[in-house]
Amino acid sequence: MRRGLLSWSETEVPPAVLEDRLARLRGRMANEGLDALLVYTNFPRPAAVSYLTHFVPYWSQGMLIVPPEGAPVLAVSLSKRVSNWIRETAHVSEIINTPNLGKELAACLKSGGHIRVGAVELNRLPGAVINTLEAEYPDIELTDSTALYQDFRATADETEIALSRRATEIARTALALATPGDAPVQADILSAIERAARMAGCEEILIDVAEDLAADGRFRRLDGPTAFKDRYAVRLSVAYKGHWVRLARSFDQRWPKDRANELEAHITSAAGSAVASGLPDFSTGPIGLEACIGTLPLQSIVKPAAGQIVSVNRTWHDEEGAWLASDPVLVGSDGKSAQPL
Amino acid sequence: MNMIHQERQERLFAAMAGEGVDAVMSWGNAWQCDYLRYVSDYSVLEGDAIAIILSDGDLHLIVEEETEAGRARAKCPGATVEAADDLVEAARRYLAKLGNRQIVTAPRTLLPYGLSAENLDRAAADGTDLLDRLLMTKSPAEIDAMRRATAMADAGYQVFRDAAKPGVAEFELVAEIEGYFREAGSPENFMIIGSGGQEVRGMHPAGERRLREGDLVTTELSPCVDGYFSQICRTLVIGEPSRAQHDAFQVYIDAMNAGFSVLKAGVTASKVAKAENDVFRDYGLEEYTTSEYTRVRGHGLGLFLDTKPHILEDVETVLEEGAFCIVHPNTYHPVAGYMVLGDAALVTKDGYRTFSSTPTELLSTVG
Repeated sequence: MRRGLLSWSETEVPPAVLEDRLARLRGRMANEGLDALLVYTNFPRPAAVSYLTHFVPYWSQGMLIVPPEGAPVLAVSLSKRVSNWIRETAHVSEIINTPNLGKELAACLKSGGHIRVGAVELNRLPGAVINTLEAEYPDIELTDSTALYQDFRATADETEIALSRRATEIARTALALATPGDAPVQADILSAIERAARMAGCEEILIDVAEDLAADGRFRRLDGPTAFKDRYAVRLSVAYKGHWVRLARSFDQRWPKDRANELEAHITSAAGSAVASGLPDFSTGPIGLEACIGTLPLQSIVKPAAGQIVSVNRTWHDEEGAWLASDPVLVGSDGKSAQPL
Repeated sequence: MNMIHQERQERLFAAMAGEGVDAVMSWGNAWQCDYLRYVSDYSVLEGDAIAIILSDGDLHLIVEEETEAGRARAKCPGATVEAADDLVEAARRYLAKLGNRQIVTAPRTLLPYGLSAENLDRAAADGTDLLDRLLMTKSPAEIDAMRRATAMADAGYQVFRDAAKPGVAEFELVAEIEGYFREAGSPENFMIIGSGGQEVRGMHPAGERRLREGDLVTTELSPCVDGYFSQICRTLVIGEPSRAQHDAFQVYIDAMNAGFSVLKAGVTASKVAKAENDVFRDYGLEEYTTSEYTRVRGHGLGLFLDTKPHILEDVETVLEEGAFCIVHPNTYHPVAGYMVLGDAALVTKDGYRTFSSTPTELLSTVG
């Protein structure tokens, strides 16, 4: 579940920003001739509804119905007792609490006379919900609106940039705890990282480790005992108020501080180029780009868009094994250059 | 392969053979991962995932992102792992390769629309019941994991009790617990919290409210070991409890004990819920057993922390020997506010067995 801080500050996320996003989305819906749009949410896929309303479900699932005008309706499979909490943490006024999402969606869309209805990521929405919706409302014309949403979502506004910067600060401060010191690094740094990020008010933190980069240059989920070898890496995926970044660093306990600092400077400056970047004495490996373009907090993209926030995942190699790093960057208006967050 | 998963596979393959099933396709994500984990021993962290296991043990995992695929490959070295832009299309392609083998899918409620029976171009029966039977009754290794998870919940509650002080914000309290569970080896935890007085109607994720002297602080802690969740529910008073708080809490003690007094293999979830609710009725508090004030009177535990059956008066599911559930008469009290009390228990032939050592009383930060 989501168990970090879930709260809404109207200073950080003004209602006007959310309303502006909604207005822009409605412009796209009108261009496509849609009567309404369905946007799904659960805590592993909260990003689209969170972007529009600031609502992040800590548990269960829901669907935001965006009509062409008027307040969007949030239908959630959470009990009515949770509605006050939803109103405190999100910009929503119309809430339907129901164990049967499909039936309530059908009733709501039917009463609004909405026939041509788009759905973000239609094919992977829960079958029981959509099958019930279709059975209860046979006249509905459902269409997949994933591309519409992705196009709408690409460019970051000032609020998204600020929140992503805060997520990056939290991640950077926590990840510094993984830096080798005078004594060998022990597994308890990971609980210190978790505690530090949550104390700083993050919404969530996911920790992956590569304990021995000489043996295996892949991150794994931290779900059991860990023993760090000479060269290791830690990756943090951190959310702050609905915005996620990935930050990863590799460390070699045998290196003098000067060598580590020199490499860190190269990695940080190279992250902004968002293309293959050399590292002294290393060969360059694959690069992966991730951004928030749908319901997932981060997903792979092929080409960054101008003004998009992108996490750049890079790999290098030398004779001692892999070297891994991830950095969030803001892509420039040319769509090529970028600045680290 | 670890022992717990070896036991699961033996039971799964026996059940598949018994029903003439050649392959099981299961779905999961970080919210609900039990069906996926049962067949694959893999818990997905980001996005959705699909596991297709054949009766000869061949396992194919489909995940949504390369980041997740890396985790899956590290966790399941014997499986083939595919990172797909389109999870649904990838699953359809894989199913097409299986020819006319008998396939079942689960769970029916959450399988993606594109893979629901109506949208598949091949026959695939619903395998939810087959897997539900396996998920409910725990094997010895599963019971041991749940016993260890319960011990971890007890230890976590002690950390919670020590950290709950006036001035501490709810989210800071949760940070302490999460740091502890990370250190103890629990990769996941379900935890909600409530703090305040008579005005508090329930629990929610941690907010910015800071604890005050006299607050009731309610929480559910639910760490997991080897993927198996246990749970503990307790109410803590910051400072000395008042007489009114003590008196109110007696209802919850009586209700939990009443639930346990009827719990044994063969009884229905309904009977346990009725025993708990009858105590509230006897105290003239029937109103607070309704959905206006409470959700369930307990629920199953296992690879999903809110698994079947829900302990409610209209649920006629029979609790079998080896089932694991929590009995928790959590609800609002009109005098004291929202209060919780609950322990997890293994259902046995003649009764039940709890593993928790935390006192089942109204707890306090003093004494």
